[in-house]
Amino acid sequence: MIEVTSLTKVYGTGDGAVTAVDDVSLSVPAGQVFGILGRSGAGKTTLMRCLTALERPTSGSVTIGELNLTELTASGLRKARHRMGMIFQHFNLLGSRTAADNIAFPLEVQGVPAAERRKRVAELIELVGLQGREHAFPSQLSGGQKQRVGIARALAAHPDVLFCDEATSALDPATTEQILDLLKEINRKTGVTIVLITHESEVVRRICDAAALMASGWVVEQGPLLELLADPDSQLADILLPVGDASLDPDHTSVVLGFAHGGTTEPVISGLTRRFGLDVSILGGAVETVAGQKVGRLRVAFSHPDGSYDKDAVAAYLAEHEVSVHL
Amino acid sequence: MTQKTWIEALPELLGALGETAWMVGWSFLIVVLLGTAVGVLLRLWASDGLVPSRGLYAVVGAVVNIARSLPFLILMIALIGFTRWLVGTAYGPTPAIVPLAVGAIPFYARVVEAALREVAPGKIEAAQVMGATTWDIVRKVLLPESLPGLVAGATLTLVTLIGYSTMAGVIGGGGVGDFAIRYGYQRFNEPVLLMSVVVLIIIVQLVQSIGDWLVSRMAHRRG
Repeated sequence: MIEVTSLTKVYGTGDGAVTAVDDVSLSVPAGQVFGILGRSGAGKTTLMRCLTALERPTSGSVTIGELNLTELTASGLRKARHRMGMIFQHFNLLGSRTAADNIAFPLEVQGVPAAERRKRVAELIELVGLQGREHAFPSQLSGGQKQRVGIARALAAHPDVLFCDEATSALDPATTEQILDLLKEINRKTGVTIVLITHESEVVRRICDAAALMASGWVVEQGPLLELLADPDSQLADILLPVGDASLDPDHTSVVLGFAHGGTTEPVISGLTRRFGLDVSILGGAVETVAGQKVGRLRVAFSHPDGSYDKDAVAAYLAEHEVSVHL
Repeated sequence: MTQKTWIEALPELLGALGETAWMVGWSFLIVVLLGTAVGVLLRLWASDGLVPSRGLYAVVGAVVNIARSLPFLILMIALIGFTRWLVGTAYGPTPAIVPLAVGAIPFYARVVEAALREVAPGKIEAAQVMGATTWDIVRKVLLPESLPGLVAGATLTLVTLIGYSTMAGVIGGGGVGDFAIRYGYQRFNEPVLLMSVVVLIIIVQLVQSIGDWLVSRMAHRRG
């Protein structure tokens, strides 16, 4: 659905030049919820501005569907944008319009007749659960309600892609959960591809199918969430399911076990003790349901009364139980 | 020569008020239309605008600044030739509309430019991502979102126009200014002069109050 190839964005020139996005390539399959996680300054906002063509990349390309955004003319770009929706951290609703009229905005821009607009707005009000608030102005709505208006507006013209720019960062935790669940539900119901940027790992953990980790303009890692979480060395997994710092373990003998694909239901740890006589100390761990699957990560330290053990056999045993580890 | 009492002068004052309303009303209409257009163009051409153009912004900005730096009386006199060419005569309430409009358009244009600058860039970007054209953004985002500021600025402009219009009296434009000069300055009829002053104060107060009321009504809905 979305292909980003060697995208680079440099602001300024000469000595003052800042590379906000540095040779980023991403691939987002249709129908997925794709998260781009990073701290502020990691370049994710610039990346998203390039994805929506608000910013022209210095080099590289962005392809959405069959359209290469970097090659489009102004009017071609406007047409391409009719296939996009976007929601924002600060909502960016028009204060001069009611909720219903805000939702109708993209339809007006695309020349949809008034009767059809009214029908579509009514559907959307119901989809986002704003019945009874259609005639309220944004100033009369709570943050969560404003974002629901934002979501309805973004979806009004049946986009193929929904971009979310820190969509829940201005909301309280309970509202954040509601909005995330709504986004996931919309993704399931309509099949719209969602690309979101966030600094909150909770957002990625809760709704994403795949994710990329950005730092200093680079994509450090990307892939399906379950694969990343199963990888003991994944930095993204360590952010999503933290298992404590290796430096807390004085002997530096600890390893991370990644449980995915049902591994958490097997008594693997006691198996290690029975079969290999290993003493297993758990130093840290987390188990969560991600993308509908139970996944877990454990930081453990193995020790054996004899001082050493057969690492290959242990690794083979763990692999057999779909627990990944690097010994 | 006996002085007229204020009651005797009242019909004449009402006639002068009619002339003032005529020249201020038409010039206000022209100022709002053309001033909005120039203000929108300045905002679009600004370096952070939607269609940045350093050259156009500089040229139009300079013309606006020159027109604004001239005192109205001098602008009015300087425009006599232009007014005569446009209207056929330079004296009277109708020709006075020309210098009034020319004098206030640059002022209102800057008011509009400043009001549009207050619209959050995020709202404009949201419209862009929805595929809005520049014209859509002007019509559906910039102007409606800054409406309270535009109305407040228009109120200010209307009060300024009423003030300017009295100066039209100096070169025979008629209206309340002309009335005040004839009675107050040429005949030293203070009661009648005072009456025209009171009437002007009442009119300006009314204009300001109506403007404030409109702004607060809009601001209330938008929060």
